[in-house]
Amino acid sequence: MSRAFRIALLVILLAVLAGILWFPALRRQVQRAERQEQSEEVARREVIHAVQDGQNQEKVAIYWLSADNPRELAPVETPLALGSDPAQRARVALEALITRAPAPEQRPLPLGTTLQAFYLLDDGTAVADFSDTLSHDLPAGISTEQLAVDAIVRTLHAAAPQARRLRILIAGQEAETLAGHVDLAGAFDLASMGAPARTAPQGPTPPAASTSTATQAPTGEKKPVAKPK
Amino acid sequence: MLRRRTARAARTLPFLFFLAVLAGSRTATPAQQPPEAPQATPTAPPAIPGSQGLPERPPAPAPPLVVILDPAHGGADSGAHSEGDEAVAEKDIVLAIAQAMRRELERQGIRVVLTRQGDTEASINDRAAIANALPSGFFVTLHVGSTGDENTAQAYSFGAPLGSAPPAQMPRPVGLAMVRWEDAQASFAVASRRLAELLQVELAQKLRGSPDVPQFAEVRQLRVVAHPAVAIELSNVGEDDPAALQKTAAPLANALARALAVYRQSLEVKP
Repeated sequence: MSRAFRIALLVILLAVLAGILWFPALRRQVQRAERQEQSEEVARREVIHAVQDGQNQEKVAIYWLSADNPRELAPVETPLALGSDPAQRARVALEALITRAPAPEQRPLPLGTTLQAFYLLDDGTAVADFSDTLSHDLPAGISTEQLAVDAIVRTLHAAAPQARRLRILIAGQEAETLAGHVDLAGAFDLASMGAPARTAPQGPTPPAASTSTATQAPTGEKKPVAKPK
Repeated sequence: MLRRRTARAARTLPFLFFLAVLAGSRTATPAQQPPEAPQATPTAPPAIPGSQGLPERPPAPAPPLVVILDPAHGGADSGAHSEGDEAVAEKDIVLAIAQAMRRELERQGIRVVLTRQGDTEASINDRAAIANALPSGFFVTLHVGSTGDENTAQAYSFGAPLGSAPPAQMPRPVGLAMVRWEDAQASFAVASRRLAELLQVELAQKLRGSPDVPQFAEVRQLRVVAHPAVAIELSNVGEDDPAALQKTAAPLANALARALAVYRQSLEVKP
């Protein structure tokens, strides 16, 4: 056994030993960080709810599933402590969309979804980053995915009309679709939505806002299509 | 001398007269032709208003009808699935339905192209590439949802529901020789909507309980297809008798064939 080989073997053994000693400490650090993140999330929600119970509340339309027809959304005027900052208003409204549905069957987003981050840029671009629970636990189907996206964009538009477009991320990543069907590859153009819809007060279920009305698109001749690489 | 010349001229005159008659018959104008052509008009079909003066052409044979059937999901992507020991997956149901629909449509003279033949995984772009390589056709992507009334079907065309935010990348490019992959459906939005409306009418008749009107949805698969394109979502994967879903193949095929026939007729009627 050559000297160089013995030295290399010794170095490897030392590295393995150091790894064994360091791994439990690393694990403890990760667990501590997770607990801290969870406690911050809980604290943030508690603060939001506490403020919502206070005086400074404003009614805003939150789009949940209609109690009469689960294939449609119905705006419900909900008192929330929105504040004045557009990004904060959007965050509060989207949190309410997730957590405060009048009934479990009226949730357009699955239970356990979290809004991990929300940004509103100076040019009006909003970026909403949801946890992957949104795509994993959403009941599969075109209609359920479309209703989830509609609920997000309509609620955001009602709470923060300053947002001109919305990009939805899943777990911090760009996604081609929400859960295999509805397109998330581009940004949603909120500027063309017009004024926020009139809402009904929370309580008795309001008439559903139909999602079946036609929109127009231009026609034209077929042209070669450039496939992305 | 003079007598000899007169005799030669007298011999050649009949020949010259024959040549003159022959030449005259070949250069005759239409007015000089015998009236056989007008006699044929009583058997011709009545003229279409506004078509006077157009050159008569034999009717062109209708181009073959091509349907691109897309059984969604496949491979590791199971799509929706039911719970329990005998769970069924959306990918298997739509494949079986698509294969049965293919047999029925081909029996009716419609050419069918499937985007997948077995339990294979294909990307959205790969499926669209199969369709976009064809010069013409109608694209139908088949899905089974996990909600909704059992054995009903909802048709969708690409678009944002009213009040929703339309996708930012949807505006149709003008004056470009090439169309962006993302905008492939933009030029076919109206045609797709028309097809979805006709299809939904048929679905409501053939699968009782189905809605009367189609919906808009921002289905990624439809967006990148450069043909009239619709999605059909059957309900639902969790029903008590999964075999009942597969029995919808024949009504679905008949509904589609009927909708396509009416769609083509409506195109022929338009000026």
